[in-house]
Amino acid sequence: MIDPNLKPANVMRIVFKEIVAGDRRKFEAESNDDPTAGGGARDLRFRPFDKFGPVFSRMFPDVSDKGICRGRLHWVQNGKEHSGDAFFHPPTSARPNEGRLANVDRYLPVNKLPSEGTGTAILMLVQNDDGRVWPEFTTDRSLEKGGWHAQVRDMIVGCLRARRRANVSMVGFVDFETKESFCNGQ
Amino acid sequence: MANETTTDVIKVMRLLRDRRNVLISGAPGTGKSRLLANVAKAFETSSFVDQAAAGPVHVPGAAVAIPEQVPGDMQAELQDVLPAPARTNRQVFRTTFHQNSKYREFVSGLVPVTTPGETGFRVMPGTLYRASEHAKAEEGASLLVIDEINRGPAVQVFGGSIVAIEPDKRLADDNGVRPLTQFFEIVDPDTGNVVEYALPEHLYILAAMNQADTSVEPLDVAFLRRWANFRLQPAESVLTEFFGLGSPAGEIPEQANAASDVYRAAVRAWQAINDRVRLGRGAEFQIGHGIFLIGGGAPPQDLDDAKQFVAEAWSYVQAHVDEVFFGDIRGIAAVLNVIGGPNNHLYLLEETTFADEPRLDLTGPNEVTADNIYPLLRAVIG
Repeated sequence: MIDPNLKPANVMRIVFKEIVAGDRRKFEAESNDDPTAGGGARDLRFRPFDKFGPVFSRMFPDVSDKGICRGRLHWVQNGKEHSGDAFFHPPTSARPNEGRLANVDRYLPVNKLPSEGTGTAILMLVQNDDGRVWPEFTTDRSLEKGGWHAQVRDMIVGCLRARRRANVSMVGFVDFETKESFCNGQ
Repeated sequence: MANETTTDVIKVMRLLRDRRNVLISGAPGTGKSRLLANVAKAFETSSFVDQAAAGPVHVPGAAVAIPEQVPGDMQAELQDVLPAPARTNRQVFRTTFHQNSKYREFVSGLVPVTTPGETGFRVMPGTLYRASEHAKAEEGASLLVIDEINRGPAVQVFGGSIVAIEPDKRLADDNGVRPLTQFFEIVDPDTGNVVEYALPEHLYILAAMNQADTSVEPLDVAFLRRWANFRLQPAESVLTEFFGLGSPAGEIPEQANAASDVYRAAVRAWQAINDRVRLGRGAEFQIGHGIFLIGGGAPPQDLDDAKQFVAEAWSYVQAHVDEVFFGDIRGIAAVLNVIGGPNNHLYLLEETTFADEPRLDLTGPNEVTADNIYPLLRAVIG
């Protein structure tokens, strides 16, 4: 029987990010190449902070004195809703315009990450009009295959195909409430 | 709001889950094919996808998280009755029976090799076999849809598999053998040998037939008792909603002043026809609401366009009555309310003679048009 909490809901905003090989290792807590060291960085980075900070503060409205946005992520597992804490950290002095979604190996349903070879993996953080934020994974192939809402598909695929430096991965957002959107390509 | 079709999908799904084999029957135009299509779609996708999403809508847990079409109402109800809900590799197999349908096409059998330069025979896996093999696979679940099941020699086509389709004669969930599992012999498509075969737990069979089809033999009782029956009836509510009438009751004015007058008269006349057909021939010979839904568009609201719309739909009613009462002029006249109907009826039943033998002659307009449809409807209602 389906969880009654899993009703469709209108989307308020989406933050989307291309998942590259380095991110995959973060999900597996293996981003550090030194086997004697710890798992390495486990944060997903969002740049520029002046664009993403306001969006994440709407997604995770509990903001601490240190500027850390705290909220919850929700996902479906075996037909049931699960949730976990989520933290979005403000920039550090070393990276002054970069926000970080922390400990993604613990707070994202990484088992739903599309396997390599199935296309460019994309993480979407979807906030619905009930306030809940759902991480969803997809690929460029799935988006282009059809079945997705055209507004969302065009925004993400368009951003993915936009021009940017070779070593920069796609990241962007669309906010249907404030009518704002951002893509880190041109 | 849940519509009639959605409710029917839920009912059929529940029967499929509990009884494995479901037979939909109903008069022509009652929506059998539409229901088959909707059940198939819901089975394959595990959801109702019948509404276009205006803005982006998030569907938690769906493969397409923000789809262009969103699940309709009653999604939770569907999940409650969905057959094999945990199985993710869901596929629909379709076939339509006809007078030349064969066992070899449905189960398995020898067919000539048609590859250029090669001769001989090969074993063809039939639709039932392919659906069964899919359902036996890990995460597999199959829905086999058979339209017009009574238009072919169904008992011969099913052959030895007919007993094996019963729910308690299937294999277990893990394809293991149960005490009552029924095996039957087939020609194995892989080896060409005759082997014993049984059907899996998660093979669901959905068939449809029109009992009023006079051109085919009725199905025998032993065949029919292996199916859960789901009967569709002509539904006035579908038409009142389609035409936006609220209720078909109310005065039918002498002159139509608005499209709604024409549509109200059409629904009332259609009801009157079905009431008389039911008495004269039986309920299975009624004509369904689907005759007004052909084309798929919304009904026009201009008065003249509405008359044209109904006149075109009424030609199906007329043809159906002529077919059901073929050779029975009095019966046709009675259904059209010519006998005992209003004096100004467009049709007239006269007694005459041919070769000194008494004959009946039904005269009236050669064609139903936008010009004569409204007075005809009023006369049929009486």
